[in-house]
Amino acid sequence: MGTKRKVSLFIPCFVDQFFPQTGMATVKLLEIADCEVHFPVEQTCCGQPAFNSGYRKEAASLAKRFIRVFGDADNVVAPSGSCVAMVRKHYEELDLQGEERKTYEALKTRIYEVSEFLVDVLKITDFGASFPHKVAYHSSCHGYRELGIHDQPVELLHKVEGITLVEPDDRRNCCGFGGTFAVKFPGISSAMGEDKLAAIQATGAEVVTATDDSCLMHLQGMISRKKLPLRTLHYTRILAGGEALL
Amino acid sequence: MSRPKLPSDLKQSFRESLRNRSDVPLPYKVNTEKSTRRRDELVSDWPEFDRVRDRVTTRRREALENLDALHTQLKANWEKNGVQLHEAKDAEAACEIILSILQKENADRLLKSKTMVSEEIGLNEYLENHGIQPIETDLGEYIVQLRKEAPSHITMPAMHLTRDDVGHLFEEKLGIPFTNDPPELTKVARKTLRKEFLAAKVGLCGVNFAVAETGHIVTVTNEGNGRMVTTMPRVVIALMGMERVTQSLEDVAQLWQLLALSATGQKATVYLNLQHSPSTGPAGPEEIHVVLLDNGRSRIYADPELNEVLRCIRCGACLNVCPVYRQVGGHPYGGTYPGPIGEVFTPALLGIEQAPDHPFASSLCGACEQICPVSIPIPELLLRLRDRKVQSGKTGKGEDLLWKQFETVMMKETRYRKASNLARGVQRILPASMLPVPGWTNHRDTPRFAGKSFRTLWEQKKRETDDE
Amino acid sequence: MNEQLKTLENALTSLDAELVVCHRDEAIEQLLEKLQEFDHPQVAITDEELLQTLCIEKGLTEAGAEILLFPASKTEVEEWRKKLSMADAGITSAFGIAAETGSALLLSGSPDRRMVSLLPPLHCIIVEESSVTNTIDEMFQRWLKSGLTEGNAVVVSGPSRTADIEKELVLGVHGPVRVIMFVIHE
Repeated sequence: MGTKRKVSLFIPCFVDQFFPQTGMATVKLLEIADCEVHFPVEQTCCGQPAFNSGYRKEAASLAKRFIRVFGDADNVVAPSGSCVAMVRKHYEELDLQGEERKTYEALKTRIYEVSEFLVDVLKITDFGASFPHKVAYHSSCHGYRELGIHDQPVELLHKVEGITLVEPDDRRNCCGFGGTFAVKFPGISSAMGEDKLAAIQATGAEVVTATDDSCLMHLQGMISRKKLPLRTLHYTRILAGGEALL
Repeated sequence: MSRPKLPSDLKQSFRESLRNRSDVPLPYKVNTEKSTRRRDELVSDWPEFDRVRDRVTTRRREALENLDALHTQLKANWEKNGVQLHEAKDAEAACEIILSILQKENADRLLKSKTMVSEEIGLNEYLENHGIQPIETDLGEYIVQLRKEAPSHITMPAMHLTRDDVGHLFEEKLGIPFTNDPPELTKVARKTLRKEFLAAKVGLCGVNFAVAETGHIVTVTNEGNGRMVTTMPRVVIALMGMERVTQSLEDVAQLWQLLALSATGQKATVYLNLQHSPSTGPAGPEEIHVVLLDNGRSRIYADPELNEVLRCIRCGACLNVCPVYRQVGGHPYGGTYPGPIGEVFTPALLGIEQAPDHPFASSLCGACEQICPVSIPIPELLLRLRDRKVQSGKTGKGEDLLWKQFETVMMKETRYRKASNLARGVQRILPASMLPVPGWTNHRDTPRFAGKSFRTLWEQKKRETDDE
Repeated sequence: MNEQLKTLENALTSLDAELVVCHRDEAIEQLLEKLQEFDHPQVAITDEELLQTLCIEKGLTEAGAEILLFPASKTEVEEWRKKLSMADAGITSAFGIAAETGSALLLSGSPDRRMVSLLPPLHCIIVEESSVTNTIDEMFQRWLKSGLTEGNAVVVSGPSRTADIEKELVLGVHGPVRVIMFVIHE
């Protein structure tokens, strides 16, 4: 046994406010994996909503702030592929100079979505959970396409006792959330959501899971409105809470 | 002169399209799915795909980096081969050049094979206004021309229509008994157009690639109409966007295979037509004219933030895979180029002021970049265009203020904490329908703030641990 | 049949095209078999060397086919094109054939022979086995080394087709509806 790995948690703002249980599940998984977990309480938002809306100046201020808050961290781990992609990939586009740029270049190699950190870095896949349900895994786009995340969460979920894991047969299409897109083009966004839900329902799953609560929030909003026999659950919660959750 | 119009409000245009959709299942959804599936099957059988894609991407990138030199070489070869060059700085100039060639031939019609550039310059309407009948010969284009519509897709112009739609159209416009049998409908078009091909004086084709090293003008087709319009008439006009230069025939071989795969899920298209020089014998074209079109391209070329879009080979794969395109089809985008590539190309070509919402009509899912045979980072380009809209002042004061406030709140943790607690309190007392985001609640229930935020739970946990 | 020709046969089958592998002496017989559905076939032939070596014109004429000869002057072109459009078949050779995709590279030559492979509903392509390569890339490599790139050319992969109506495949749009490749096996 070496010394514990230090992990700084990055809990994206909407997870903080709407899905704190995903954050707590992440803490639990990291602790099971024998990490020393820190939560830099100064953190707020990575700047993605402003950046995706074209407000780069505002996004840059928040990015610089993020770099200050997390610059010293050994590892940064977040339960969101999208926000990790914002930092790892899109901060490149922002105007970062000198020390800031240098700190960022180092930081972007040490920031991970949870499943990347557990599977690729720590090489731990079995968290002893039990979840005897049919679960559909939705590949959240930013995690999947910008970070290449797919096999890691799937591997983690496959280790869960009693789970039947399926993937909708729709070419890993977008669920229709897309941040402010969901509000700017609500009709298209929800039409995409309907297609996604139809593909999920065709699998016979009872639960939809994903790497991003944002996608799940959008889908859950439609599920509740349509009163579908489905529920959404972030995959870290399945791994951390298992059966007790349903 | 009229060129494809852009909707004054893209959001409205999309809303209408959603409201008016009646065919179930939607033809564009079904057709894009079929195309993508075939393409995916072929890719999974082609182990070298990634390698070829990387190489082709690199070669396209290099071609654009050396565009001036390649143009010089290409023009020298055209001159040597007897190909007549006309450079057109904009749509108007291109239309005038084409008209003057037709007038010199005393032609009353122009036989056209598929070219999106001719849509871009509004050629058909221009010619009609000058008493010349343009005749589309690609089956899909022929269909949309009869309907007086623009193509709804870059490579599948009539993909928004069902076989019944086409059957009724032919019944009405061509006076044949109704049939919805695609082979029968195709026969009708073949028969009608064969007469035209035999009588044609002037033909016009698009250009997929022009080869700098040899001067070949390359057109990729399946139906044979591209061969017809470049083989039968005395005079051939090739209408080409200035970015479509490629280095060598070797590059063409690879580009072509990737294009076929991405566009239609074929290993090779039926025809790869390589025009080199006018015919010397008794049969075949005696003149070949190239109209080399700029129309905003050199401005994109000089723009390092956007010029990667010029790598595009117009396969249409990004349309097929785009979840937004699949919901609305091509027409609601307006302009010439729909789907993800159009969301970039349209504002890049015309300026963000002309198409301010185009870059926002995307969930940024990245399926377009993933499928693009020349690896154009479409989401990144959309994000840059969004920035440009903000820079241009085309966003409203309200939105500017919103994001400024967002920044202010998020820049200070205590402010963020206070603001979220306030919102949490408001949500407790207000009914769900009275939430601040109207677009959301029409289709979805609103997420509820958790009773306690993560940071509150974390602090509690810390205290408990410290107490132990 | 060797591996390469089997690959070619599979490719052509998937394109709804046909392959005939035959000996030099059997070429005319095989051609006639494919033309037997026509009473007095009208056939256009190019002046390519291989077709002359194989005496295709003589063989078909003797069997009762009417051969459309290339127009000698411009004044005959109009009439020739009309006849060509009504002809039953066009016979050409090819610079090469790529087995994996069933693609034939035709050089238009001078005078321009492109219409022969375009207007009639049946296109027969006769090549020697040595002209067959595995891939399109290899075929292009050979072409580049041949010194024959200065001219019009077309690569043909099967009969003309469209899928413009509901993605349903239809053969024979503006080009030939049927393509047969004859490979002369030594």
